[in-house]
Amino acid sequence: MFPNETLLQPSELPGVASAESGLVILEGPQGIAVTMTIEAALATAQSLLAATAVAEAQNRDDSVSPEF
Amino acid sequence: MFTDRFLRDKRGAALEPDERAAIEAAVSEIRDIAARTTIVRAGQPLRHSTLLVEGIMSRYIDDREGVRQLAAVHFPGDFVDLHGFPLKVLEHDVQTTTSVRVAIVPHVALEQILAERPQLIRKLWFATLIDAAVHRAWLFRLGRLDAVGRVAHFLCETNARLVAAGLSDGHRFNLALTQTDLAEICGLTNVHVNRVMRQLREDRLCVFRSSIVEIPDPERLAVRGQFNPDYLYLEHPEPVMSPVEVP
Repeated sequence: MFPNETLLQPSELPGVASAESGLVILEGPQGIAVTMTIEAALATAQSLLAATAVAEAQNRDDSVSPEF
Repeated sequence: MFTDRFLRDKRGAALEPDERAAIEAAVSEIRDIAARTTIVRAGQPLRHSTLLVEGIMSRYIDDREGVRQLAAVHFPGDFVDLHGFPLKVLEHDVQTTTSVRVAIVPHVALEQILAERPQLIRKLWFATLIDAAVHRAWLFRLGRLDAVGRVAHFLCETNARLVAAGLSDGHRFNLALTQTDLAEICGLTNVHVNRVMRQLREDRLCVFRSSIVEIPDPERLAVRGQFNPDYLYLEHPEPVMSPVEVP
């Protein structure tokens, strides 16, 4: 791993979603600022949940080396 | 004088009277152009550069779907496409945002200045370098700041530039941009910009109403937008303003 603390790191802060005028706004983390339709927001939420499950499995079986 | 605001309050680059006269003499024509007129197309050969005298102009790039990203906003005193002199074509479009008055400076006249006035050419170069510095700040803004931060940063930058141009008192200035313009500057949707402006208003950081921007506490807005005016190379960087009451 690069020992550089100034490199952009995975965020430990969650993004925050909110509703505005029948749309969904996602703020953060790390400068994300997008507006989605309800359908796009639902698909994003499902995609996030699915990817999160895969990432949890990867961490459990320790199959991903942090070294490049 | 068409050049009154050009390089005004820029560090070490103020025009000497004879230099100002040389640029004034190089102006071939004054044009009044309606709002939302594209005056330079990407790839179009250029034979003159445009000094903005009144109004607002922008540089932009459209994506494949035609969604626009503004790459720069120009205010009176800016030599909008001076970089078109050495480049001869631009890779982006230039449009009037409001109705504008511009001074046209033919490249052949700039060639003459190049031959006769190296110190003035250094100052013209300085102007394009400030443009580049502003681009770097815009990259930072879009890459690192959240939505409120992006708008706060842009409004701080605009305030500082307009103070330098003599068009803001540091707390209040005219800004004839639409919500869509702000969205295209900050990479946000209109709905998101609307939300951000409401939040800035509720936090008493900024009120933008009827083309008037009021900033009760510029220092607090600068903190919110991570704005540092060093990249504008101002002779007299905006002093820390005392908060004022905005109704």
